[in-house]
Amino acid sequence: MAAPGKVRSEDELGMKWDRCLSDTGIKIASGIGLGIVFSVIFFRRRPWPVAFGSGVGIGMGYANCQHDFASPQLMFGQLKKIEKKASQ
Amino acid sequence: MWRASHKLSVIQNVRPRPALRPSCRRLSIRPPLRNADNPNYPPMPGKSGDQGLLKKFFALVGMGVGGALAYTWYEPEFRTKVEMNVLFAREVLHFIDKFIPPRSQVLGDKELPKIPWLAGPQSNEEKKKTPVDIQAPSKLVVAKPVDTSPSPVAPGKDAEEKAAAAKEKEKQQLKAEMKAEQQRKEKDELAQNQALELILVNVTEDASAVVALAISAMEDAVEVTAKHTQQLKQAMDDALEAGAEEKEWEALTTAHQVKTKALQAVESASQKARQQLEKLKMTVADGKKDAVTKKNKLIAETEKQLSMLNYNLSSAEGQLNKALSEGRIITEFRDLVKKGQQQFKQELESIRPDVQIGGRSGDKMTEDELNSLIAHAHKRISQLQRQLASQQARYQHDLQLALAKQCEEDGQLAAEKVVMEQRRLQEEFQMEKAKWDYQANEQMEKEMRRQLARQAAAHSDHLADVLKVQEGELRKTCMMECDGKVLDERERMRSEIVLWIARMEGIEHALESRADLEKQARKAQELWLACQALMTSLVEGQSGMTDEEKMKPLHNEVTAVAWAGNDHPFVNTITDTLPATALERGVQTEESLVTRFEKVRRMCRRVALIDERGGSLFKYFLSYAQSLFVFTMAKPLTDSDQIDPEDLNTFRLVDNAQYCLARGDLEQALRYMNQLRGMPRAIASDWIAEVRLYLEAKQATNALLAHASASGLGSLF
Repeated sequence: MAAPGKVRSEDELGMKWDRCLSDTGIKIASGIGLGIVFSVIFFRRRPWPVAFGSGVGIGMGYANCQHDFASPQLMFGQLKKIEKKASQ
Repeated sequence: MWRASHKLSVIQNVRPRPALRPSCRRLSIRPPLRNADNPNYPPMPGKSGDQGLLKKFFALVGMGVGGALAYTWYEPEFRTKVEMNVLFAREVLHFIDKFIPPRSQVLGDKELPKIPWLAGPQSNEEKKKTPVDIQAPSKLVVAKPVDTSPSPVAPGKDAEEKAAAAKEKEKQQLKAEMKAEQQRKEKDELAQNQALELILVNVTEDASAVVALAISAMEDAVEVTAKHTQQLKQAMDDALEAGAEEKEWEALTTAHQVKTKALQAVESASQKARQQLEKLKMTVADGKKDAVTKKNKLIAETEKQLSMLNYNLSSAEGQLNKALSEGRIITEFRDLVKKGQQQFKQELESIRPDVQIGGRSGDKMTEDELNSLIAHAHKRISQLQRQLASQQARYQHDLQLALAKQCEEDGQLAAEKVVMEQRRLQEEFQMEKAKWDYQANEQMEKEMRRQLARQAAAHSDHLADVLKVQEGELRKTCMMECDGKVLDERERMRSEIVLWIARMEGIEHALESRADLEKQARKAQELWLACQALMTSLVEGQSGMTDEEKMKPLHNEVTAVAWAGNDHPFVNTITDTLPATALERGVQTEESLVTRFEKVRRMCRRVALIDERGGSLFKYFLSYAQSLFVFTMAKPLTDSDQIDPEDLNTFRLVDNAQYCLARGDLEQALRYMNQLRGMPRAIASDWIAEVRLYLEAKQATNALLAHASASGLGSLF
């Protein structure tokens, strides 16, 4: 089924995990960055905006991951895949 | 008989003459005896003056003469005797011969051999001709093959037989060969004959020349001897009458010398002639001895000539001898006369030794002398008278003796002559006989050839007719038999051909089936090979790093298999059922599948708790934690084991699959894996699909292999 270059079914989960972690990392890093900016600009270098920003990032990443893992059909059956299946 | 009469005639002739002259001997050779027709010697003693008796006498005489003449006509030997013994008989007989036909014409040729000398004159003529006709025998010999050649070929009617044409041809060939051989033989004979003839002619010429020389020498000698004898006689007569004359004696001496010389010449010539004749005789004998030249005519001629020469020589010699003996007699006579003179002289001397007769012719004799001379003369006369008386007395006796001697001599001479003549006649007879033999032989041969040719022709005609009839009959029977045989044979052949055709068909069939089998076997082998190649590429794949690279598209191999399958429906069906992915992309190798299974197993264990709808992250965490705590749950199952589907969880399925894979049972592993549910199923779906594809291809390949093996085995047995 899997065309050359396509991801194998047993590798999907790992890729999902990679995507989640990278997304979460980006979101945490952006939260920390925003927190640092807010802390420097608005809250006079208070630490909490950084924690808050990272917390928001973690939360966003988690939520995304949760959503991703919770709907495997969506994950597996992306639009392209469905189209391909339909075409077959 | 004639000797006695001869003696009588001699007595009659001699009586009137007192002295025995040598010339009378010559007369005595032909005694003038009249035998039958001598009137002084009547055959019948009865004699009377009667007229009837005279008639009877004449009739008897006439009958006797007529009988004698008839007998001379019938028996030539008697005729010769008569001619020799009766005066003028020859002339009379010749005269009579003109009026009566010769004996040979009347009596025919049958008795001719009895009287060979009748042909004497003819042979003499031929003898004269011989030098001219030397080529005649050769011509005859040359002409012979021409005469004989048609006779063997004569049965020309044989050629008409068309059926026997080949045979005839062969026969003719054989004949031609024989003819050629005969011709060659004849040629040889001809050459030999010609050589012999040449030799004979040469030798004969030489001999005749030498003999002629000898004869001329002898004639000369005879002449010289006669002359000498005559001179001697003359001299002696002169001496007796008037004393010797010197001249005559000298002439006599020269004549004697001439005679001696001539005799010597004669001796040498006759010796030469004898030698030559001997040579000729030898040559003739040689020619006769040779079988080839035996029949040559020239031999007979030559023989004849030889005998003739011999005869001539002998007669010349006889004449010479005669002349010589005459000379001897004269000499003897002279000796006798001389002796008598001597005796007379001696007597005179004994009476008067002192008287020399004729010693002194001039002186006169004394009385005494005369007396004594007269006395002596008287005495002498009386003595001579006595002597004469006694001589006269003895004369008869001596005459008788001389006559007897003469008779004897004459007889001897005559006998010699008779012997010679006889020999000559015998030779002539022999030659004539040989000639007749030859002629008769030739004629008979010719006649025989002609008869033979006629007989052969008749025989061949008859034979041809009989052969024609026989041929017809035989042809008919042969045709019938042939037809029968042909029919039988045809029937037999037909049945045999049918048999053979059936056998041939069987063999063809077997061959065809065998060929089919072979073809099938070859095809099967090819198919098997193609299938093996397919299997190899299926199992081994191709060289590459990743699993995708190791995959080999099976399109080529499957095409080869389809080609090798030769449109076999089974092969076609199987090749058609092969998935397109396997043909275009290829199938993962078993090894890579096994390797891949490890990751699939791990992932499946990690998501064992999650169903197909997915789950929260926590649930994933829990599933992972559970996987950490669950060890292997493999529980190998046999085919007979009952399986409870509820009992099968993800771990057990995966571990069993792993166990099966470790054993090489990919199918069973797939079966276990196919029982997965939920998220593990989703995880393993790709692997399952791959394995299914692989197994599908493998199964198809195995089926093809089995088919190939089966067809190959079928072709083997």
